[in-house]
Amino acid sequence: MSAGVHAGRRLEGRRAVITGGGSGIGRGAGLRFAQEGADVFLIGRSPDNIAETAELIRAAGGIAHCHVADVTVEEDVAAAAAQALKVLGGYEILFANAGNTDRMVPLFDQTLEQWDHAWRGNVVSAFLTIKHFGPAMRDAGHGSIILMSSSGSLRANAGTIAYGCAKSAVNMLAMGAANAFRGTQVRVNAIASGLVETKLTRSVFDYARNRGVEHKMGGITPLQRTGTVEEAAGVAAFLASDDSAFITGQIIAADGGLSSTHPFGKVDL
Amino acid sequence: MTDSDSGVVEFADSTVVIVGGTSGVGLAAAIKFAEAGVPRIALVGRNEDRGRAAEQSVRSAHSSVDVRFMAADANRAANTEALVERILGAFGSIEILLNSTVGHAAPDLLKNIPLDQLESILVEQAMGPILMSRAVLPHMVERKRGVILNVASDAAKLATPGETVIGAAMAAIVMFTRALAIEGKRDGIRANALTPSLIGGTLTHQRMQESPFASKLFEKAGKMASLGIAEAEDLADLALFLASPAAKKITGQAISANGGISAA
Repeated sequence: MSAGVHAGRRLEGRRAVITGGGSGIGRGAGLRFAQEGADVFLIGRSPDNIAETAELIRAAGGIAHCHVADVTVEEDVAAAAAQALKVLGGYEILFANAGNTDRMVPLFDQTLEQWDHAWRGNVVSAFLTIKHFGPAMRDAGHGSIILMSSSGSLRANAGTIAYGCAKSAVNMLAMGAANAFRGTQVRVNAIASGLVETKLTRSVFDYARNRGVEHKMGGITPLQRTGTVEEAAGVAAFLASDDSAFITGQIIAADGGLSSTHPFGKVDL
Repeated sequence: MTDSDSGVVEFADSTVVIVGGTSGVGLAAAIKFAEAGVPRIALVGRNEDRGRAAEQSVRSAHSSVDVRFMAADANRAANTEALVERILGAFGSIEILLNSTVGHAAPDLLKNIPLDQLESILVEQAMGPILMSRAVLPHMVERKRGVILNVASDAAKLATPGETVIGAAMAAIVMFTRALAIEGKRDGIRANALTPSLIGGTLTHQRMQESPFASKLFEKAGKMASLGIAEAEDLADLALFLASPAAKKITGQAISANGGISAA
């Protein structure tokens, strides 16, 4: 677990569900949520990966449960929601973090399969997660739902067009769902994450490393660096906590400032 | 698993759950389990302050043990299931369950116990071990191993004036444990009961001093304990033995540790 500066135990007594909890930002958020006092219910496709996250959480003194599911499959999501309710007795935090990306391919060469894949893995998965986990939060009358978006949803050239379009739809899902929960204190927000090294983005980092220009990664952002898993998890923890109690329906960019600028074109890596 | 491994749970890779683990026999056992190399211990109790203090004393007995207090009332069915899930969430497995809960009822003659209190005395004394055993059982069955220890009392074996309802509750725990042993053996699960008589120096013992009837009863019993009145540590030693591989063939028994007060 990161030894960074933490805001304390804002999630004491809370229960958090995280999809895509086996690696990357999902794992980082699991560790951070647990560190802030939440019991964590991890969902992922790979039993080994979520079990490893659970072990890390337990070793740090936290409480973690695992459930294997593919969040693009409706029956899986429905079963996961029932299991989370049974094991946790309820939950206040839902981090619909699972997503996918694809290879950079010129627009005119992209295939329908590629677009279906991006839509299913990023939008349908988030929709199914809200659809099946949301009602218990609505009935409880409070909670925080966090969707995983990307700086690729806000501007071109950060990820593939199919990925960017799908994440734009995730942004609209956050806004729409926030309104669907009107009259309750259930909030829905999305994190538009910049470049963070995870399994999803490893090929980009490997490419830069192989060319010896890793230090230039993130160079077009005002902060002139890439983000860390811990930083992304910190934003998720803020949105999960009552510190963000008046924020809903928003897309929070955590991208080193990328979406605030007019980059002068592709950086020569 | 070979037959010779059946019923064996090694302390070094065990999670021990002690219900009523924040004082008395439960706390004494927690300290001894930690000293014996158990790496993970969950102390379950209702009192948060006592729980935190108990955590500290187990930790100071053995600094490398991961001991965690879990606040819960184990006498409610819904709580026990959630509690077991929470412990599994914290530790990943449960190998040993020690139910060391006590009711608040002091011995008294039946004619003096108000009618409307009888049910709660019975339930408060008997249901905790039954509910907790049931709640951990699916996990132990799945893993084909586990040890369940239920603390009852000699009142289960020996008819004692003032212990009609308490005796019935204790007999319920003992018979439950014996039948559980017969059900559990096919899955490598052992179950035994500990049946102390009076235990010196515990909160229960202090509480009993407040009732004239109970204190007189305990005083009489104490005089018969020629080997000395049992203390929490004596029961903890028995619990450790019954949980250990040395007791791998022992199941369905109700063992007294009472300094010679009786030989039931």
